Amino acid sequence: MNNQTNRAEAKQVTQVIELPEIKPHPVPGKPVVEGNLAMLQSVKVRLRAVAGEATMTVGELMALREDAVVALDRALNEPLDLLLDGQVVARGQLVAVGDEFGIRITEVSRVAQP
Amino acid sequence: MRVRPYVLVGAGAIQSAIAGARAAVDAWRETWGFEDDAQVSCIRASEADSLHGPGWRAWHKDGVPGAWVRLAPDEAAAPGSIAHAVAERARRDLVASLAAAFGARADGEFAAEPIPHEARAVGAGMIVIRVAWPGAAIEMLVASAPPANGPAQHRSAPIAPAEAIRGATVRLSAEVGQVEIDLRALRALAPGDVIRLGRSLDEPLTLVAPGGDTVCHGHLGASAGRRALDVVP
Repeated sequence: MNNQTNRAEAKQVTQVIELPEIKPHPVPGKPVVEGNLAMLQSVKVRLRAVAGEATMTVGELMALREDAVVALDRALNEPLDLLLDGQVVARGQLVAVGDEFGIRITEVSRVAQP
Repeated sequence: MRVRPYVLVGAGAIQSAIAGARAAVDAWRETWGFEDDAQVSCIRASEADSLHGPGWRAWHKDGVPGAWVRLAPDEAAAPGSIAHAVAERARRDLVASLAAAFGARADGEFAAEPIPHEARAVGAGMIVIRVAWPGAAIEMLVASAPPANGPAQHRSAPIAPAEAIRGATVRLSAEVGQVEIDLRALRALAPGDVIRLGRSLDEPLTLVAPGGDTVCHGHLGASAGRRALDVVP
């Protein structure tokens, strides 16, 4: 039945759509977004909290065994990094929230603020 | 599909080929007591017009052509004479010395054989060495990159990729946790805010490779005034 309807519609006038050529405007218009990320408010981002980093050779990595101690490049009193796509967007102190690790923010990027 | 290496002959390769040929000629000249009147030159096979001429013969070994040789004039003296025999031996000796200098097989047989087109192509890595005296010349078409120690070069076996990158450094990060928030919350983030990181206090942290893969886990602790991970199974 539905198929027949489709055929009936197909018998009506159909035309190929031709798209008009868009010419570049000589004068640039006003910025559309203008640094306003309001429409991206709901975008989810994944943040990683990193306690420090360790640099080693692949050889050392392959020789790594259980119970080994891997020293990180951070002093005990240094903050954690909060990374977005590999870049630090905030820093904070490692805390316990109930029985869970948490970070108490101490520093945020100034530029990203509205 | 046929695949062959693309080898360009640089000016340095030409110079070292001339030096190699010169050394071979000098050694041969002293052996035979000839005067030092030989001119040694070298050009890329792709630029050698003489390759289109007649008289080229392939130096075969086990059915594989290793070098092509052209002697001019083709006969040094009247066939059958002692002079002819000596000249022929001397020429063969020089051809063998030159071939050896370029790592070509030098103990086979001559055979008339056309030079294949590939050997003359740009990127074939072939060169033409020319040793000329007044009234005579030897030309030889050989590969430009002679093995450093002659044909019996020792190559070390390829090593496993895991071995080859042993010396490379990697930067691992000790991840306490990950949290997903929307941009609105991120932009509203202010000092004093606390974010739960979704990892229990008795859980080990994750040591993460640059690509994001987990290397291992370890409990967070202190070592010599710094944070450290105690690696767990």
